[in-house]
Amino acid sequence: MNFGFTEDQDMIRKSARDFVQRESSLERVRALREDDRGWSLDLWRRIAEQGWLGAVFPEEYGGIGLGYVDLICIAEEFGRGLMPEPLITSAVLAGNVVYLGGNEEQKSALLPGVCDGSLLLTLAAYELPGRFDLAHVETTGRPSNGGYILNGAKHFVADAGVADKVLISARTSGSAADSDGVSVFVLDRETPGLTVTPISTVDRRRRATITLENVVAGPDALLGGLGEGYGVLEDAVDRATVALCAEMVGAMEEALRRAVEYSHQRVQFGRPIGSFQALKHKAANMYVNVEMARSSMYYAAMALDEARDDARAAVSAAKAFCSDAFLAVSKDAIQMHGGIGYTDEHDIHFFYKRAVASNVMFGDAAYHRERYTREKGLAPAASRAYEPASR
Amino acid sequence: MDLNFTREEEAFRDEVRAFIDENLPEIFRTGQGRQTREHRETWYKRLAAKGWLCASWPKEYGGTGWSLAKQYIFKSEASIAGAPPNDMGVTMIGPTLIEFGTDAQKKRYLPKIVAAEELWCQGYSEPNAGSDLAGLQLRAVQDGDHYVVNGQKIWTSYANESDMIFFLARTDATAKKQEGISFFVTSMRSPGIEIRPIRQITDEAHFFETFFTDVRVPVENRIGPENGGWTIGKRLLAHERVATGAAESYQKSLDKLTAMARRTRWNGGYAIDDPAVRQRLAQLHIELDALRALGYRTLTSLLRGEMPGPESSIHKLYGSELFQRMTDLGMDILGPAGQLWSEPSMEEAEWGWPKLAAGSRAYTIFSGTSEIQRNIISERVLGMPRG
Repeated sequence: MNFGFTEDQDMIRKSARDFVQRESSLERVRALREDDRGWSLDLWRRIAEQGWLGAVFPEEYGGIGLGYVDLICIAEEFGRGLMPEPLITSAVLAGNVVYLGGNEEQKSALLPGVCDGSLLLTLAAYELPGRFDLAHVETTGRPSNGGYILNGAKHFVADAGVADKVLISARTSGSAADSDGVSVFVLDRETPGLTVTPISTVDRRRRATITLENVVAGPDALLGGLGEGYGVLEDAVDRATVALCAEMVGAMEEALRRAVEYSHQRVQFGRPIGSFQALKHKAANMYVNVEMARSSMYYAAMALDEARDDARAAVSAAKAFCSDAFLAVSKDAIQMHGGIGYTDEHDIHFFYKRAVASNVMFGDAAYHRERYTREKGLAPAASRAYEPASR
Repeated sequence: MDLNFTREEEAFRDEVRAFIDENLPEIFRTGQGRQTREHRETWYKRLAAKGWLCASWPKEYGGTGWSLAKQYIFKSEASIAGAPPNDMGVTMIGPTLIEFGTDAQKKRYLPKIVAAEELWCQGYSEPNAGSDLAGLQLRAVQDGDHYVVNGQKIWTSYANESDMIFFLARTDATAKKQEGISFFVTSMRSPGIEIRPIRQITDEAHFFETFFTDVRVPVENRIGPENGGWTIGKRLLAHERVATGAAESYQKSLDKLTAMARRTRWNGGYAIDDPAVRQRLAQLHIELDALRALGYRTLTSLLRGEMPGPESSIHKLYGSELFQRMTDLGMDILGPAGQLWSEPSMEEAEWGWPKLAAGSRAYTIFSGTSEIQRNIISERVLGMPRG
């Protein structure tokens, strides 16, 4: 029985923390709002040099073969610094779609570039009508000349404007919400018929809509089995979700730290506002939220590494908890700052905006509560017989 | 991270389960009926006969000498089965005596705790000293080789079923309030002690007022130095707060709540088919999972021989409020049946859920109110300025 970290994991955490403190700041995050890319390619390469982009991939593909309990030590520190670099959406998420779904040739061709930072992948899986349901795919992939013709639209695609390759889910059989019949294709971003339209997002990370108009995908563009993409997407998103939860925990803890620090400095009625019980109790609630979110996130990472039966439910539990907690903590952090917290000049709003974006990434709290219910079998089919009240 | 226990520990779990199956009185399993001292005593004596009563004590005092992992396994299994909490002799005064008692005091009190021959209650709170415990006014004045004790305690759980009481009394009225308090033990049958039951909002009476009128307590019944009782009293509460098994103790209620959501008729279907009910129920499961994981974190620190981290301060606060969210959802599921109370409406009221809901109000009050817990977290963990 051991629900703690090893010395190696403590060291990974420390080097990630030192790296983020040394290389980044909220000043940098602020400046990157106006940058075309939204993050630093130079820093991305240095992150890759640390081995973190390939943290969870085997050495044979250029990774370092660590687990998710190791990865959360890194992701938490990235979150603490609100790093905009796409560790999660590109390396963990898209990298895992290749790793879990690709054949040997595809893995060998793509993963080393993911791990060394030279290849930027992104996943285009979500569509507006399906909200967070990865099975809801209206984009079509029609067989043609041994390959496929893709048509449709994908939403909220991370860094689509600068990605080298885009992984796209399309329906090759069945109807809109079937879990069977979803296939994943890997395409160059420059493929004719693939159009990237940037959108404006709350935390200024770059997201775009991708439209596909008679896009030709060759036979080797199919990633994994025909019609078998849904399971791969769910598993890859689960892994990325654990890393995202760690990022959220790091960020909410930093928001709390800043709010408490401010409550020592700000004086009203002749005393620091942190001495008022109304603020103390608010801060105590924030602390409870952070530590409970952290506990559920640790459990989910452990469940993935141990391949426990309840891993999927554990991931949904963690995301539901972290979504609610990060929003609550970041809102309270603004409240504790008073008027200055409402200004763009002060940094505390960055945490709220990251919380809003993180909440809807990979499914919001309500979506994950419903998914948890299904995974745990809490609500058996409606046909259940009337059970009399029993002791 | 690795949540597995060793094979030896798992074998121990099987042994514990078998013992509980065979020995735990039925009334605790169902949670129904009127529990008396006899029921508790039966369970405690069976544990004592097995040598398992004082799980966390060192072997030399009659404890089990179990590893922390085994203690945790035992406590979880007992909680899940619905076993009553251990007597305060085992959980509170015993460890305190081991730490602060003289050899004579240990010899007098510990063996009878180990054998479940004496049950204990706690005399801390007073009508004017609740959250502000150090403001207590029960007076103990030395008179030769005795102290003469006068005043009143309140919220004395199981005072009617207890043989002994440990209590805090003021021995110096002129000193700073924390510095004039001493710690005593005495028999509940001492002349001058009277108890009066307090009817609770559930109609039950587990709490009592305890009145002391010229009660003579021998000087050798004082634990620790005169006016040194505050430190000991606070240390004793620390034994109460290291609660790694909080999640397990709420599991039974959540299981029942889930069953209620599945079987309660609701607009032609069942309550659980309603998305609002389902969302709240899932949230409670998610919260209890998180509390269990928090417990694993605390347990891991203990197993490594470290002090539990600051996060351990939230077990009680979070668990008690989570329990109230459970009883709230149950009441909403019951709907019109939520107004039922006792006989002859027990079946329709899910065998006492409305009483459980009323009773759950106590959880955020006893052992340090939620407000006091939040003060502690903000000042001692977050370091916010004292006001």
